[in-house]
Amino acid sequence: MDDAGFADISDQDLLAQHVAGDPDAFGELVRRHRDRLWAVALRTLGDREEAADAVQDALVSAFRAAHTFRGRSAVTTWLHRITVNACLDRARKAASRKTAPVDDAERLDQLMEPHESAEAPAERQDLHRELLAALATLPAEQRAALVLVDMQAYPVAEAARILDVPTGTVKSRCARGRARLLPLLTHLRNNREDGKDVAMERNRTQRPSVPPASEPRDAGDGDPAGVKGGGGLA
Amino acid sequence: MTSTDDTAQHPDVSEISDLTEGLLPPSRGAALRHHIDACEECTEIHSSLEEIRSMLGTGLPLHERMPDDVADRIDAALASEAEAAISVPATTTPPVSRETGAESATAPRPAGHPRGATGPGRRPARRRRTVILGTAFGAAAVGMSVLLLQSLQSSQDSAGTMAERGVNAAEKRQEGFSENTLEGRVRALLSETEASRTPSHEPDKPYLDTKSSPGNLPPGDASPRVPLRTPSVDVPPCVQQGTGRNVPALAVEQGSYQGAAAFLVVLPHATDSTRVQAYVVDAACVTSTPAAKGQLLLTHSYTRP
Repeated sequence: MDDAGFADISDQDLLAQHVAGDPDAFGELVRRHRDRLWAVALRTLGDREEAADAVQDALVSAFRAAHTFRGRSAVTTWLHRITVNACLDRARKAASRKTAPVDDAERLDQLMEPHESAEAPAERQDLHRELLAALATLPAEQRAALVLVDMQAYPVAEAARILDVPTGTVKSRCARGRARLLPLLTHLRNNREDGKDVAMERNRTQRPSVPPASEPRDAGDGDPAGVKGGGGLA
Repeated sequence: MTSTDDTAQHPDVSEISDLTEGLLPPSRGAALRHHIDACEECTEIHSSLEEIRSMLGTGLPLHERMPDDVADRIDAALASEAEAAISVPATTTPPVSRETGAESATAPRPAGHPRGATGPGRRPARRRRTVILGTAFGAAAVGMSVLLLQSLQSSQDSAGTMAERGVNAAEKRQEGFSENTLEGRVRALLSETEASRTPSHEPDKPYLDTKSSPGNLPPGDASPRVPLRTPSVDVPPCVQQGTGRNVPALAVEQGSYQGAAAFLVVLPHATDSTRVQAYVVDAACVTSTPAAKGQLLLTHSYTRP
């Protein structure tokens, strides 16, 4: 009943109704956006529980702070911004806790959808899993930018609004993030196709050119992951 | 360095990546493109970066669902958040913000004292007022409703005059809706409409502490004796839109909220049949062109009388 009643109400009106005291409006807002917020959080954090905590924190604070919403951005942008910030906070905390490197196959499997396993060719799946593992080694800001722009296909301008930075910063984070992922990709590909030595040699020499990793283990993480992937394939 | 040719002049991977995002100054970008066109290895890098971009974007479903257990957990967290918000003592004015509608908000929020009832003896005073409302104002409200019905049946053009009349009436009677007085008015409206149908109903059921919590509370002692199938009343379409719901109204009344003309609309609660939901909607929409949906100013749910 409430679903039907809310069907033609805009997000902004729903938020206004929530602020005015309507007990059902915010729930409807959550129902509309939670899947997208979930996808972003899951990929940014790479961990189901962390992602669930982040989205929960974000929605609770949105619930409380709804009266501060000024309508300068869309409600969905606002919700994404709160969620991404919650994710970045958690990612930074996790980084400072020095949690185990993200080569935990089980955790990565959580990121792969069940139907994916059936559809995607095994090779591509492995490659993808390694890519996600590598993504988790990037600085959180680069990761968030890549998740929004490359993975979830948000326009750069929207990602900029969500991250509250200029579009140039988003592009730069994406570019740096991809550059950091490159050694891993070529490494994997070389493990698979031993023949293509041109790329391999080139990338060996190119490796040091990748911007110096702020955390040395970033560069190193690609290797164990790559070895594991290669082993699985062989 | 195993490459022999112009390795020293190869751009960094990060610079090639910057190039793909158009981040380089034009002159540097042109030079880089020139190099890449002539350099197989850098072309390879360039295409690998593109591959990474596309790989990130494929394979993962764009539209996946939040798992049910996570969704349930979040719903529960929000429900307890809502309960915490509602457990504010009823005699204080909860800081209901209207900032989202700041464009049209004219008056600062008043202190929120119930009209005519001051001091600590507020509850009894309100009950007394309920009775008064049930009689004098209730009758007036019915008069207004008739007026509304008549006006609404005519064309859209007459809506303006209707609203003016409503404003005039509101000014004369100073019928201010406020958070503290809303419940009494809702009850008065409902018991008036109800009384016309079920005269045996006793209006003195205790009303304290009946504020709703969004989790569906068990009906408790809510009596099934009064199904409250009152005839629906007409509400101006834009005001109805302001409530965000399409169900027929149980009652409607015109008055003012924070100095501006407003409608009080009472609808059945969305999920709990033992409750009603009251909405105060800005009346400005009735006269505005182009037609806009009425701004919701305040809403609360109450147990049915």
